[in-house]
Amino acid sequence: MTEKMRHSSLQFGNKGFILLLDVVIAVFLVIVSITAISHFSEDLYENPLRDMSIYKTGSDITALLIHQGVLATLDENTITNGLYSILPSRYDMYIDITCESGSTLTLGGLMLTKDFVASGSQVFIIPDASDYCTAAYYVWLR
Amino acid sequence: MKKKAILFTLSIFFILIIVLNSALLNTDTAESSRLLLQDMFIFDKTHDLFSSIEESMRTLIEIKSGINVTVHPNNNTITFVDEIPNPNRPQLLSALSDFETFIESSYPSVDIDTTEFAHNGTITVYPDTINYTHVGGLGSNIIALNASSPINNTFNRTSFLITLPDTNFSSILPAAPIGDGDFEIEVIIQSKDVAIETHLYRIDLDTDHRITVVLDDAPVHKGLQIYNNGSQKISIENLDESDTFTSALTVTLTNSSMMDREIGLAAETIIVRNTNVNHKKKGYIRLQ
Repeated sequence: MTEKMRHSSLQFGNKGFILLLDVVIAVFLVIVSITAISHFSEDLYENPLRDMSIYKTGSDITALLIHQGVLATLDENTITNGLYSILPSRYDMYIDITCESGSTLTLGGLMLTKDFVASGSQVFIIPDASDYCTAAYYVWLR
Repeated sequence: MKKKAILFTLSIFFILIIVLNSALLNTDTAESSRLLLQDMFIFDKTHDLFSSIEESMRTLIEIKSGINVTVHPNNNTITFVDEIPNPNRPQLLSALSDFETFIESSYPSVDIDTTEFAHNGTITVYPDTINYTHVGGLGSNIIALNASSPINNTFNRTSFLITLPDTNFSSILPAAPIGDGDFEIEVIIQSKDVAIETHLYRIDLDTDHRITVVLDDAPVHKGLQIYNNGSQKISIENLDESDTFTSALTVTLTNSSMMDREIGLAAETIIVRNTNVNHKKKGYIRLQ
């Protein structure tokens, strides 16, 4: 009787172990799959949207500075003050202005980030049409 | 017990299959979204550059040509203010040429062509394609409003506010308002911002008419003439280029509102290319 019980217990213990192993492997695979999916989702959905939003911020800020006539002053302090008064605090930006007359101006933050930097360029004109300039801008998250 | 184990394994197997399928589907969809966003990113960049060039050219043209276009959406009118003859051709040509050279050298992907405007000063109302043009080139003594179809399909009234130079106004011929047609021509003669004569003519555009503004210190041929050649063209001509007149031509739209229309330079004038996705934005310069 004792012998029979020990045998039965051993048999049940083996099955239990295999079942446990099966469950552990299954749970592990499920976790790996979910992690992989969320990783893909993060990489493929969030980043391009975030990058697009960074670009749109740079583009809108530049357009606003042009529209307000701030860039046309070609004055470093005026433009820097104008820029940081409207740029959201999460962002930083660098602007490189080149004019037909040969004058150039660079201002804004230092590009120390290793993360995504969006860039673009817009054209503006000095109010009396005496000069034409391009403003190349670079924008990133702080 | 065996049955339960098999069922459990099968359940886990199916769950995994579902999870893997959704992962693959998700990856595929995400990749498409990423590519779509990448394209949108490029389209946005192209559009932003195009818009800023257009805005700059609009300012440049307004300043250098001396032609001012104003839209009054409330009463469905467009006003073109200009000088006859327009004296700004040399400075406009030089400014446009400098601007084009600068932009095309700064952005090799951009082509600007303002030949049509630089030579004729032609402004177009879209989609009707009614042209406000300087016949024979910017600086000529004739300004015309012409179209490929009868003008009164779009406009039923034109008003000419003419500011005289120092020379005194003598008379307007015909002196009495004429006709019972369905197209109105209003002529307001003013000097030093004071309206001195207002005449209203109701003409039939199918018949040719001439309205002459005569100046007193000259023979009859000195002054201005407003005339239509059929239903597709109304002109205003400076009969003697020794004087310069300011003309404010206001046209009143017939049926639809200004919301449906755009005013721009004739012909396609800005092209911005992006070779990465073979995208090209091409269009005319909108003034309004």
